[in-house]
Amino acid sequence: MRTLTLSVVRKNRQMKWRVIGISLLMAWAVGMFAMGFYGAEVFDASVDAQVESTNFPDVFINLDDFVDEASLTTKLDGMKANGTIEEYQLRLVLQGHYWHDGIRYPAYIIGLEDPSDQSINIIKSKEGSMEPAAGEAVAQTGMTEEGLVIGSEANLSILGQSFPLEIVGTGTSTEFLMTGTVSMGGFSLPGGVAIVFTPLDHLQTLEVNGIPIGPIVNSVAFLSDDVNAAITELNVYFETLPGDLAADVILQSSHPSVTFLRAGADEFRYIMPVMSVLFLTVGAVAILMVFQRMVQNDSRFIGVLMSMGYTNREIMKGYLGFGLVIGTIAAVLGALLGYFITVGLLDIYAQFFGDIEFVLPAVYYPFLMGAVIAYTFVLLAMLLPLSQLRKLTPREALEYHKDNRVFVTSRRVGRSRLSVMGVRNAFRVPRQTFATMIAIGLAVGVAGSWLVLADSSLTYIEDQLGSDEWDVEVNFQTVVDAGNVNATYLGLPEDSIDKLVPFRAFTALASNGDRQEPAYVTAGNDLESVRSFSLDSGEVNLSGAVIAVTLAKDLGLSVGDEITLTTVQGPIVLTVTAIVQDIMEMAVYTELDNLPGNVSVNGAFIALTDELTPADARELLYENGNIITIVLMGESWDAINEMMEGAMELYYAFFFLNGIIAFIVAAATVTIIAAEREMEYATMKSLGINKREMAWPIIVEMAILAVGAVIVGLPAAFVFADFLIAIYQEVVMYFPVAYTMFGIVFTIVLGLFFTMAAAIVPIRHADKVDVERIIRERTSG
Amino acid sequence: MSLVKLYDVSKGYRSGGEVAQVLEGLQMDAERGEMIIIMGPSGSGKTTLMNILGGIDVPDSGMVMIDGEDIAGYNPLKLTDFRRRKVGFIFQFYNLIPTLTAKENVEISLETVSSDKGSNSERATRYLELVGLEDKMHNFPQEMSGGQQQRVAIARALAKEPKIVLADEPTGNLDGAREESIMELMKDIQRDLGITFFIVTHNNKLKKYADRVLELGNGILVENGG
Repeated sequence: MRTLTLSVVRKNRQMKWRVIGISLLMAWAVGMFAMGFYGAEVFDASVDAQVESTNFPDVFINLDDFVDEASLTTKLDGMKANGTIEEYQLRLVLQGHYWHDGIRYPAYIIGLEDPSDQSINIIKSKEGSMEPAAGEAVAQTGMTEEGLVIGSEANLSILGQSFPLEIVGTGTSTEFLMTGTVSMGGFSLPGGVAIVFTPLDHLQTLEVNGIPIGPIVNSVAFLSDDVNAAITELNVYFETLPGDLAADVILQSSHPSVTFLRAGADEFRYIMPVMSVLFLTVGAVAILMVFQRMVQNDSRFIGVLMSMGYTNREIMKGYLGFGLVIGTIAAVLGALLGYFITVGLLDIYAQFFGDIEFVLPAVYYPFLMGAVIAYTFVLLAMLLPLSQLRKLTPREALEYHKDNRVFVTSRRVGRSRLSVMGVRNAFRVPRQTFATMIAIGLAVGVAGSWLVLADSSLTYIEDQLGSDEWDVEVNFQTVVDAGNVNATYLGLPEDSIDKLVPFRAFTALASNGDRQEPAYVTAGNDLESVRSFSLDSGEVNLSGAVIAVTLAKDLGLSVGDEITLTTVQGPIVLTVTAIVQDIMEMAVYTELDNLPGNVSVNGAFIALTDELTPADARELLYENGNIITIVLMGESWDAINEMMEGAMELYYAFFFLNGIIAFIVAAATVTIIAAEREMEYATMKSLGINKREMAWPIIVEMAILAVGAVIVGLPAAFVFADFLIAIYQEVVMYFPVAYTMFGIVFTIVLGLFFTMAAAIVPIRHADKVDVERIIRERTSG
Repeated sequence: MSLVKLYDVSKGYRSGGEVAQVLEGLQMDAERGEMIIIMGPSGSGKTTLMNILGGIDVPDSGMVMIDGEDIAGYNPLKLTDFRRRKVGFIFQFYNLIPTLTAKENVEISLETVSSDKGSNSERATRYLELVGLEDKMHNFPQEMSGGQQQRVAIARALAKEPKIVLADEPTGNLDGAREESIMELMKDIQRDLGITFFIVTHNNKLKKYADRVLELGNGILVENGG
């Protein structure tokens, strides 16, 4: 090793804490960057593997009414014979209730010809048998909390009839990976759902009013190379059948199991690198500050090297070596962090994704890119300080004196000499003071942005929930004529209902020209009486379509434009009258009368009077065998609050993590100040100034820096939050930036706290100064 | 032929819109192996003269001939190369690199002229022995006294065997006994190796070591007679 390099390496060792601090910051940034891309790769690879290994169907068609099994089988066999479809699965999907430990859970009872079928929609065996006989069932894995364990009898009821099944095995169906969540429209809430698979012919023995329901089905899934042709052919077939067969057509790519996992990939791919860039920027500013000071402090050292005949370029190389050390630590540690945090996170994600088997693909680009990014940011950050070396002459370097200009006001500042000293020290080199404020301010801003993000999402969700004015939402097993949905039908006393709005909820393909997106349509007359809309633009008029901001953005729609909703019964063309902020990002609201065909509904919103509590209403509603789910607004609030608490904890954790980074940046910067002032501290000590008095000017100086940092940090927090939220809007969910007092005050207070906390570094440094050594060294050269 | 010859050298510095003339039409020459002591009051231009001789600074006008090269017109790169080959510096405050041991401080200078590690190591050892520091080679500067540090600085300046050595107040930071010891060491080396020394000092006691003493005042150099 060349001696010049050796001297730089030893310099590193002398500044180990500063180097470690900056390297860790950069490593964390690189780790997040790598984690972002690697995590996305893991999710994508896992989705692909899951889809492929389970022969996950290309299309699911869930009908709102039942069709004859034999007739549909003939049709599908024909399509299979002519090659329109490759494989199909006929299902009878019934929703009911499941009782366990006195709690009633919504239940999906799925009748399959052969639950162990390996040709399509494979249920991966987890434990026990996959071949249930009559009276037996296989439960989706991950529902042990709900008591669905092998050997137990599941106490189920369907259409008001008891239908017990003995659990003989557990398995994972890709179709129901999201068992940990229940859906409120498009929005998932935590909650238990019972999912069991039983032989189709056994489920068909279910009796309603003493008569078996017989050989009927209401769902079909198939594999096909030509999805559009297959759907079209089936739609034509369904139109020939009697009854209201409005259906949800779900493509593999838009199936919740796939979209949730792909959204997970997108979250990793977009959010992590953005956060990483924020960290990298803060790290780069810290490096810039450190090197700026280092080059200035090392001026004499540089002058001596020049006097020996070292060229400016050789000396710059020595410093670049220093940067390479930081870059290398960041790259290596960052890659390890990125990998291991991703793997660690997957365990947590696996719980949310129904025990999915995550695949760790052998891709290296996230780590290589992370390394390149680390070196690029480190080297870019060093460019400015090192560029000063380029034209430095030996005489300038040898004659360099620390800039001791002092900002002086004509008025007395502070109450004591020590306070005045603190203020003047803060503005000793105004340019550096402002640069320090900006560096710490940016770090405070990044920290604050998480608070703003948390505050904005919470405010938005609370506003949204507050806009729902119904108390109970019910969903029906089979569609009901809208005119028949009344208190009597529901089984509620007349005087207990304040407002009753029957609705038809279904998914449809929304389109505007060539642009298409799946949409959640809620059609009901007088919807405004149970739900107020947060207007983004236009005026709410349900004779047209009221659509969510995200859907409008994705389809490029504005108020006055036409939106086409493609359903089994044909297209519905509506004029967009309003664009609204909505938790259901792809929501479309319209009047029931706008739907073609029979005006039948599959749910209702109920606002109760004081005569009946929602909990009592639920007990009465359960008596209606056709009601399969009952959502109480109060419980939705609790569930959302529980979910938001989890999310908030994550945001607050990020806030504190970033706060610590702000502390590191502040500490790294003031460490140099402390080192520069060793002689002053030694002199003060020799004058008999005690520890507390020595600390005071440092505290005053840090307070000034902290105030400056917060002045920079507060607007930065909102700018960064705006940026993060824009990404969130694209990837996770829509919510606007909220400028609340909480966000502002908390950012200020904690910005001051984290910056002031860094004062401990120079205070300790001043306290530990060896007076004899410093005075001897400095006065003797 | 003189090793060093200055013709009509002038140098001024701009300060607050005015030019302060430090050297004006300065003439000087020095023979190989001579020890020249330069004296003069503060601000007389001693350090400026040393910087010009060492290729650290360039004159505004005039000619600076050193070992047959006129360095006055050299660009920074050529000046760097000149310093590498022909000049050794000894500073008042030693200016050792605190993160390197005594031996490494000498080697770092040698590495500007040779990449032969073995030869550099051997030569660094030899010169540290020459200045009497054979038992301190692996000590860091803070583990040595001021006199010992200055000996390392001398070894560092001499090890690459330059044509001239420029010493700016080399004993300014030492007590009487160490001052004597350092000056005698430099005198011995000057005699043994035939190196030309330029020493700037305020200390009249050092005159006895000089072959010639030059007095700098008002930008002009006058022979003092020693």
